Amino acid sequence: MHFGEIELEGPYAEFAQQVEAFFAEHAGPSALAQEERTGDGFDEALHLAMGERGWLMDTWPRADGGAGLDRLQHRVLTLGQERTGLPFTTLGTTQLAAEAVRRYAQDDVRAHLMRGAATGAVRFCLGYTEPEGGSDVAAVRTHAEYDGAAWVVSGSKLFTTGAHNCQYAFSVVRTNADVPKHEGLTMLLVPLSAPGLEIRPLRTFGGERTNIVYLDRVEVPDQLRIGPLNGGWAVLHDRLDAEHSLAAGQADDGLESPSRRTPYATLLARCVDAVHEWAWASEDEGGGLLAESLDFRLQLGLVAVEAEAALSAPGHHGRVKASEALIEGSARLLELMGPTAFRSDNTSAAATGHLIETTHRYAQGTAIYGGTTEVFRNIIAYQDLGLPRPAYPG
Amino acid sequence: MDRHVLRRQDYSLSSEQEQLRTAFREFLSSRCSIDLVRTAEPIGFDAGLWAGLTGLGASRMALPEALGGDDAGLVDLVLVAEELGRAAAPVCWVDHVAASRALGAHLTHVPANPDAVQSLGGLDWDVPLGVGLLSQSSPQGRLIAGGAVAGRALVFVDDALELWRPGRPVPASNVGPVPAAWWAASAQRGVLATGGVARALHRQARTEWKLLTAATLLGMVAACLDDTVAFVSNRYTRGVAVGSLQAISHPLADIAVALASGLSLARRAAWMLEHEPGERPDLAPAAFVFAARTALRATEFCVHAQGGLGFTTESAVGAYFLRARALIAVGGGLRTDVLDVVAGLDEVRQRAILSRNRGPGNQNRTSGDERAFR
Repeated sequence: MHFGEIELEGPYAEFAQQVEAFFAEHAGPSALAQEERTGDGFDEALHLAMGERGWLMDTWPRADGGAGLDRLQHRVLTLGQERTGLPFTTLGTTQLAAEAVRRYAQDDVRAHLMRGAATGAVRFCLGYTEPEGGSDVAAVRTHAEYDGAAWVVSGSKLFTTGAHNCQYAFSVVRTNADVPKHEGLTMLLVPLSAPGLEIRPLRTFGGERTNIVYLDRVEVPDQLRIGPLNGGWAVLHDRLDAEHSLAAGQADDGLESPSRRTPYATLLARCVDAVHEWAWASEDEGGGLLAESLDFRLQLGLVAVEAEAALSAPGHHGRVKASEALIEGSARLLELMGPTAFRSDNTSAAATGHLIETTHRYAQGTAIYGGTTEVFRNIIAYQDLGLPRPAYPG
Repeated sequence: MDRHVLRRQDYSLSSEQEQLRTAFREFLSSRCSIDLVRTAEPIGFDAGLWAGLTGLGASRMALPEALGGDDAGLVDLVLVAEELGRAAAPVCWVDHVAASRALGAHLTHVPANPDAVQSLGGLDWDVPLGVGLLSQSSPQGRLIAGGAVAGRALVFVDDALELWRPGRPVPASNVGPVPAAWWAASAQRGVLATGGVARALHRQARTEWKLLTAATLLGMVAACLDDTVAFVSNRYTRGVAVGSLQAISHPLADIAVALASGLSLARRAAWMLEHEPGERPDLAPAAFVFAARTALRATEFCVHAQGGLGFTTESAVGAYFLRARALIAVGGGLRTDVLDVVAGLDEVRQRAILSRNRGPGNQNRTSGDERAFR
């Protein structure tokens, strides 16, 4: 057990300074303003600048375009990214798919795709969900048939966040409809510029722009098949596990967050601090300092308690806890701030209000994407607690 | 505060800590059955179990080495508290530890005034020590955690730290199944310390009692969860196990989430208190509030999930249900702890302002929106 501050020395200290200077230059207020305007989860200039330093696939060896970062350097970089407040959504999906490419892609395209992912020229979004599918990835209807020259793909993919800024959608498609639903799936990298493919924007009230991608007889060469034909479930599962953070928390050097979703808890803690600060400069109804009002302190304290619990929550417990603490906690903070949360004047009070109001909207999505919190409750119930599994017909 | 500081997040237990936990778990599973817990309920204390724990070193482990103890750290103590909670052990170990650590710290650093101890007949560290944490007194007297069985109690009165010996007859009115009792002010009293020293020791004892009680409560939740999972896995409705229904399995998963979160928070709070005291004064009260709320909700649902059987006085979860509420009451309820969390945040904020103002070129800086704390 150890929670001490890590003192960086020599090259590590230099690296930390580089990271700080880099994000100060490339991820400052204008990058945040752009993100707020577009909701893209992507900033091309920032992305390419990271690629120049090998920081996109940062733990990959330099020979593959990475920076060969060790675990401590990787932690420093991750904290630097988190500190910016930017979501890095497309970087996240690119890293996820690039790992699958590294493990499963065919030899004639692997090096090219890995190099592209590392420099930033190639970005991947995820093509998992379908309009009728939701969290049940195995129920995909988008299908692909091999016509002798290429896979011909038809169907639609929902929540393909970043598709308009990416080159490929890392997609699960049905290649055999005559076998049980987990068995007839194959993973393809669908080129997003291919004829027959249409990207339509879909906005969330959390501020993000996502997409729906329609595929009408889109041709995909077999080289872009990732993993074996009809073996998509295993490839996807490998990646899903990564996304579900089942693999996180294995090393006990303390250089990982307890859960992949811990950043949601950090965001809530930042919101608590901001509202606390605001209250020391605000008056309550009676003209006293809001921060000294008993009622305010009791309510803020309860949110702070939830934030700290969420910051400690491990693995898939953290997946549930961090999202739900953020949703609940930001709601309570919104109540505390009242109309200030909706002001747009040029004051620090309005800035705090804006943080809480946008965070509360953003929070709602965090319990949905990457598998809803119900999916994780099922995992905890059946895998951890060993409760009997229900028998469903599908 | 900077929420992106590069700190280790290592929640793993060392092999010594694993051994410590296993030793207590094995001892308790052989010596502390639910029947023993029930038999002890009128007073909430089993002398034989206490003697066994004393044999294991539990009564002196928290004392400084100078007083013949093991000087165990708070992380280790939290692990032991979890195990005692899991077994619903009818002893007052947390009260004893909180009192003996404060008393031990005082006697080691300020050997002055041994008369106060001697005038009350000295101290036997193997006899349960109680602790009076709450400043309020009631017509029944002062609430002493462990007071139903303690031979002496460390009591914080206004600005003084006192050692009390109960008047005769010893009050036996414990709080639910927890061996706390109200001691009349007619108890024999000796003053150990006053002023700032007494206040600091009071704060230490209170913080540590809350932290260890948080771990106790979470251990209780773990036991209730195990018991309820077993129950709902073997009860059927319309041909399916009750536990396969999401109306049951998801609330149980929520309890597992809260339990994992709470245990980790309690350990982090213990580590910070042990290694960087004062750095995060909000954490220990936060751990207590979270553990208490988790215990209230979890025991409630575990009773409910076991249906009418859970509601009978024979159910194990019922025993945990009652004990959780009594423990939280002995701590004074949750309101002051929620306020302590915010007071901790105030301290952290104040420290940040001071260090900013002391920064290069900012020696004399004052700012209108950085209102001073209090």
